[in-house]
Amino acid sequence: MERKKARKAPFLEINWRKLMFFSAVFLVVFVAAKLISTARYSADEPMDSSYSTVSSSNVSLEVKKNGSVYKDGKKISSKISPQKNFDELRMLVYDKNGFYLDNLEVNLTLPSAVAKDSDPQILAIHGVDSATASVTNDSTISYAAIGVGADATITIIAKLPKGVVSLPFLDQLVFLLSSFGGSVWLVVAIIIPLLSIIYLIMLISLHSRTQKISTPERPITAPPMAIPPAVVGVLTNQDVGPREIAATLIDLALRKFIFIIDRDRGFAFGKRIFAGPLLGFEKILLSKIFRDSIKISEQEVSERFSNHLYSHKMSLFTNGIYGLSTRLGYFKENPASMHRKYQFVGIILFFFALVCFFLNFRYFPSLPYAAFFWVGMMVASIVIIIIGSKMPIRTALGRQALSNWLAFKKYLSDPAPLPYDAKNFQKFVEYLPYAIVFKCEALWAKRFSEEEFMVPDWFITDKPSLGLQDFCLSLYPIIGYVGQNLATIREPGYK
Amino acid sequence: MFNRETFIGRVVSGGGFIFDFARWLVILIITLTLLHFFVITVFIVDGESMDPTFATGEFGALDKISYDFSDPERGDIVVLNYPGDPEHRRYVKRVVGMPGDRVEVKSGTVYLNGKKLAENYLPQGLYTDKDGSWKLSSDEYFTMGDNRPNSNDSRYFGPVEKRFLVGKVVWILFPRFFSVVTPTY
Repeated sequence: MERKKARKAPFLEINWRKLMFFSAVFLVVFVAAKLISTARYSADEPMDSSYSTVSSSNVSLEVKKNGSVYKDGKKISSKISPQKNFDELRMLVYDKNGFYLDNLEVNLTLPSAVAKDSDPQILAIHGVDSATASVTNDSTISYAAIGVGADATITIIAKLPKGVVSLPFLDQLVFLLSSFGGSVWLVVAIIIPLLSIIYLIMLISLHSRTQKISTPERPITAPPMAIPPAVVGVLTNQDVGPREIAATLIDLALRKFIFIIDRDRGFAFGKRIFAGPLLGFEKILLSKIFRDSIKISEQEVSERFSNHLYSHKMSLFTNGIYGLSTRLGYFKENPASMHRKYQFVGIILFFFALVCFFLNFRYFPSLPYAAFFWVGMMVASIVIIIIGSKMPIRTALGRQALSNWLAFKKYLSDPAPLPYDAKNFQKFVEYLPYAIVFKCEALWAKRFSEEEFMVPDWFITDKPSLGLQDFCLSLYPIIGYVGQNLATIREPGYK
Repeated sequence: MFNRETFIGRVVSGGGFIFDFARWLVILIITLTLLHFFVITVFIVDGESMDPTFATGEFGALDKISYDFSDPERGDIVVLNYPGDPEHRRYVKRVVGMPGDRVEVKSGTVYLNGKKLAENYLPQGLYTDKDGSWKLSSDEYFTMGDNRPNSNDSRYFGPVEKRFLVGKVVWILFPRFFSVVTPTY
């Protein structure tokens, strides 16, 4: 269906616009703060150590068997980190402390006699006269710095042979995961949504097998029963979308409740005197479009969309169609409830993955590629929302009804042209709402001859001698545009 | 393709302004974050140690992905995590010594494996101080700032293992704009 404007449906059918909006604001602040705080890379120059006060310091450090580090008998946050060929202690012991030290001595006691094999090093910058690392005895390393400036930075390093310390399980796991390259994580990120798709498709096909819908061999030339086209749409797609809204509008026009005006300067909708019974959801749709007016212009229709982030009326309209379909016995449960279940799971998973995506960079810097895993999970959550709602929940009655309607769809989409006569042209507009919900309005129009087309009385246009093709090109964009936009403003949880 | 009924259409199409804005922001932030951490990012030079090649306050572009697929080359300007405090400090330096090299600084000149290194990118007559000799292992690089008298680099903190190299500086973006070319020796 052609559209007059490229306004479309909500992001991934989630509809949680406000939640998305505030999450986005949070993310902007978080990321901006993170980037600003880390993006100044220093082209660092040495500093002079010949100022500040004089004192001295001795520090005693001990590495325990479990990899934790104790300073003067108290546990500190520094710890041994696993590397490929060794376990490493890399510890900043003096960092711009603001006073001068004649000498700084650090004694590191290891859990076993491996000091000679531990490749001790001391890194001293920003104003240190000299720095040395030496093995005192089998299990002790001594680090010494002389003339330590106020702005100095001193780091001690010990590379312990594997097996000297027994690191906690989490540290070992993180190290194991960090040994996987980016390509491994990328493959994982692709596999997760693929598995979700495969699982859901298998589940759907399993359900479909038990709820088989017999495919009609022969087409039916008339609607099998008198139900609103929107309900037929729900029966077919288990979903109220723009097409169901557009079909309802044309159905209302056919029943002479409204008319559509198409002028060069824009379209408009007009309301006639209500001459017959209206269903609840139809009343709501008319109330949404017209409010108290009799005629409403394109600009006013656009304002109806843009003035609201959400429309309660459109939610009620959607619910009304689902409710009627369920009351007719076509579904085991209300399709809206089923959609909500998958939306809920998908949204929870999406935001969980989104939060983990950022926390991953913050708390597991050695595992940056694991972020791909969380991106994969976000995609999987979107897959769940989109595909999950296709799970068939029709009853036996619903399946039989759908089978009959599919026979009618076969008739609408038959490529054989229909002979020209006034009766057939009447059929064109009469069945058009059903063709729209079956997504075959173009095929349906092709069955009719271009010549002698009579524009229906509910479509008022200033274009002279409108043919069938011109009529379709004028009508479809209008109802498509209105249907798309009304569908976008339903409240969260309605689809 | 962007029809609502296609999967991509559902992803890229949207509703009102606020929702559109929020949706694109989430997609943009995730994309930028991935680019920042894995592909390319922008940084600010802070300090004088790369003068005159880079000036303090200049914005540069850092290629983070190249070194995942290839090794650094001699002459590359790199951002490295300072091995003494890898989580918090990053420096901009030039790779001078490659794995296996013997680097020697003697009487103001840099020698590589016993031969004088011709460093055309340095101002004429620049004196490289802090004499010393370093033998690089198979995973170590020797880095130095171009402003030798005012640079805290491998002469002070020793050779740098590849795991500490963050990426390669490829452009200076602002206020000057130029592509950073690796010199030939």
